[in-house]
Amino acid sequence: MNNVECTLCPRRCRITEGGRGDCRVRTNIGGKLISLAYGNPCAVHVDPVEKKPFFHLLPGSASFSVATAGCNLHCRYCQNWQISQSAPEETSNTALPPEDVVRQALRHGCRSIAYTYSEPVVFYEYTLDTCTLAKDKGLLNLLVTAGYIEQPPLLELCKVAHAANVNIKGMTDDFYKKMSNATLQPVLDAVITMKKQGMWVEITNLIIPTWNDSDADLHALCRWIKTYCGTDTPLHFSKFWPMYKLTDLPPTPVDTLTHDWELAKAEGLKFVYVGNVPGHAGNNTYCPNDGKILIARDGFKVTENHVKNGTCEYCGTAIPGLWE
Amino acid sequence: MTLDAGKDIMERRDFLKACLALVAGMVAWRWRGLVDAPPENPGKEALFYRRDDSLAG
Repeated sequence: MNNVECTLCPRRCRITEGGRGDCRVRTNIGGKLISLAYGNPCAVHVDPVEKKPFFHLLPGSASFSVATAGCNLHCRYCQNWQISQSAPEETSNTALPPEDVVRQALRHGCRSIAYTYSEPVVFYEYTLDTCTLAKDKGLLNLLVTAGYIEQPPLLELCKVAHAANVNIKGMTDDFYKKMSNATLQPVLDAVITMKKQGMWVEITNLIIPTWNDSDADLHALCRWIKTYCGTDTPLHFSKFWPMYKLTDLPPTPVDTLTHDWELAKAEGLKFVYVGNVPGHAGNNTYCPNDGKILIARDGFKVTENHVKNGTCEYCGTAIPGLWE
Repeated sequence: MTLDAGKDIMERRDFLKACLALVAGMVAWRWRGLVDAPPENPGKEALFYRRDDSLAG
């Protein structure tokens, strides 16, 4: 028989011998579930931490960024579909065990390691082992994730990961089903768990014209964040670009993003951002007390930083984040 | 054939031999690289799964 059930993500794939999970990277070999992604990244880069995006975490620092092939979601608009919708044997990979990831991150002067581009959930064991080593060396571990993961593995990961940017793609099951072939509730549960476990969490919402850009969608997202994460949680609205299987829609108009930015602030969220629009006022961090620019950004570049010891340099208001 | 012409031919032969040796060396080096290439990534056993013999094989 030799069948297994993968209990890593809510898909709970049942895999017969020789078969693969929906993520394309976990395979049943002789009744053992093997991750083919381990130590086998297809993307390795040094990026500004703002690119992830993390706007309240070591601003202006470099983050060593790794990804493997595969993903447990299948978003029709995926911006990295060439790797996320591929199996490891279909991508060009580098043998890079966890200790080498940490070594290279330190050698390149990075202060964090980002598990990003595709989905760290599907290269879970690689992420977990690398996080453990990196934490011992004083590096921060950053997950850039869709948060589609079961609770037991997430709780293990929360012990060694410091921060996450979770992409909440929409606020309805219908959206998740049609756009990503997934469900909403496990994502929301993951965010709540990360917060409860003390991780720093930022949230990204890609605004797709006609799909998740109604005021009702945005109010629902903002109210959920206020209720379960708090008004200090940064929210990034990101500009959609036609990609992969969703090329029949236009890019998100900047006016829409500006409207959403204003709406979220009016809902009471203190740190709202506009992404993928360089030069937009929503690229900057503003003090929620005196309204002054605390961190000015031009794209991914930090041009001014007035956060000192986690507070506003002008009025002393505490600014939440991981600043040291 | 003059003595100088014979010497010239010998030098050309040495040059050709050196070229052949170089090419042979490159082929051997490449072949060894292919043969000794690291094995395909063996992966690692997953941490979260369970045996499920209820499934039809």
